[in-house]
Amino acid sequence: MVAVVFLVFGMLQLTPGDPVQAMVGQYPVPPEFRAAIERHYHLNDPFVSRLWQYFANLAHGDLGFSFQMQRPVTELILERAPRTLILAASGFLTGIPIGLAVGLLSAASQNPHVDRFWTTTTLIAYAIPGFWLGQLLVILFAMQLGWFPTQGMAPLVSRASGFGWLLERARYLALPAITYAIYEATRVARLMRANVIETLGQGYIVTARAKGLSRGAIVRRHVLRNSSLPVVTIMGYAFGVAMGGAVLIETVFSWPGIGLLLIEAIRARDNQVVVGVVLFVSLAVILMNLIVDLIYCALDPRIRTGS
Amino acid sequence: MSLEASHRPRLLDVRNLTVHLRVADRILRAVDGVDLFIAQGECVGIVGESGSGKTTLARAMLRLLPPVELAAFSGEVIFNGKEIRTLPDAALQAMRRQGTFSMVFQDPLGYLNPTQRVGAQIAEALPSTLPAAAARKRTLDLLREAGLREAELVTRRYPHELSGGMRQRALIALALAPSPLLLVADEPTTSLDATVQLQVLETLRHLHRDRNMALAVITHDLGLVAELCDRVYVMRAGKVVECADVFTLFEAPAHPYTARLIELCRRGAPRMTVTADGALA
Repeated sequence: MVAVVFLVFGMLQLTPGDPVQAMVGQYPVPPEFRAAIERHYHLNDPFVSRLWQYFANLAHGDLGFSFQMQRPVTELILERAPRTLILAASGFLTGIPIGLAVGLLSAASQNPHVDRFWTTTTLIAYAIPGFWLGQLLVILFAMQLGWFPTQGMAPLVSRASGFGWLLERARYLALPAITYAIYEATRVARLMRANVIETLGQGYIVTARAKGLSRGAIVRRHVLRNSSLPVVTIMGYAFGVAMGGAVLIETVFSWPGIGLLLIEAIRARDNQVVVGVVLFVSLAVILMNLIVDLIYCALDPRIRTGS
Repeated sequence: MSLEASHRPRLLDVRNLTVHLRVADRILRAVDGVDLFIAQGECVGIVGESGSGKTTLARAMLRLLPPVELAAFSGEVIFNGKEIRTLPDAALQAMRRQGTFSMVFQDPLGYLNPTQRVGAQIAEALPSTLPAAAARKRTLDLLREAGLREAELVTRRYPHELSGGMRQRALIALALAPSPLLLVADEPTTSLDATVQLQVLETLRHLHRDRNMALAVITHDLGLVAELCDRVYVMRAGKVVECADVFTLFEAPAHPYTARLIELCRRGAPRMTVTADGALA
């Protein structure tokens, strides 16, 4: 974590651009204003002294202050994180089961046409960039058909309450979540297909056939679990990274999550926010890796005895 | 013994069996017109060097080769009067569950599911109509019959938690679960230590005698064949080059290849390998 802060701090030090100018916009900056801002936010202090100050604040759980948004960074992240979490969770929770099913169907099917169809479909879906897919979905489902709103997370004013409120939010969530899910599903499907093919070549599958088990029973009892194990690792890690927000999807759908916050902060040279977000994401990745290890431990007896 | 055995009714009758396998882009003639039979309660050895096609032959006659690898599969495989080469999958599965034939594999670690307890894997091979308590008792009995004294403990273990010998015995117990009339053991002792090899050999001998079960042992180890078998088939490059009762084979081998195998075995050659031109080294 210390290394992450040091690295990001150093990199931001080297990036060109003037935070005060970014604050004012296109107009010339009055020298007195610049001097006041620079003094107030310690912008001209030496690198080492600012880094030291940052660590001192971090020790108190203070991620700094966004001088562009005039709010503490911790508050900003805590406000945005649940939105990113909702988007990522709905994307992953729909994408992973679909991906597992498609991968399994593709690899375990005895009909070569089924495999070819799904392999081609997933490859095409995998090759489509998320932001473009998002825009296509917006054009079709939001603009042509009008089923879903084009962007945002909620209407500006709303009278809905209770279940109606939930439904209204769900309509806003639908398109970004679908975009997310399609992307995750293709990743999982490709991985799962490879795993199932590998598992089907294992000796214990021959043993299962020798027992007289039907193909369905073999897949259910011997293939499914063993092929899903590597997916847990990859997707757990991906979920940690996803806490940094799917920057492109959040931008396309103006979803006010962590990803959009990061983009806004980078544009505005709001360095404290950038460092804060990166720190938050690295924490999420570390946490998810820990959770993945625990899940893996529960799923794979070989790890359990090893540890 | 051998003469007597060959007069018993035939349990398995293989005629002109040919198996071509798809290996990468090539077609491999793994088994090339093999004739073979195993009588009821008989112990038959199938010997040959690595790559001679003996494992493929064994799997082909039990219909255990993955269909995707099969480029050609012809001939007759008659088990107890029933042609099984062309049998539909469902009928074949029913036949396996009813205890006709089963197989013990060479590498017990790879042939047991690493994420399931040994007990569950054996119970899976028992008839599904058996009540849980009865299935449990039967599992323990099978493990004991396969020579595992601490059967209770073994059922709760995962394959990787057992020693090589214990795993091989667990795999034998699994193969015995449907009470087969024929047990095919593919290199049952190759992956084991010398002392454990002897114990497993003893177990197989007991099972063969006590259950009056036909046994086919596939091996490159002529010592094992001499210990256990009534009759021997010698394979080379997918063909059976010689078939004789065990005494005739060792005393007066008819084929020069057999003679060479026996000579290598007497000299205690650790492992036979094939050179590029197909000769033994």
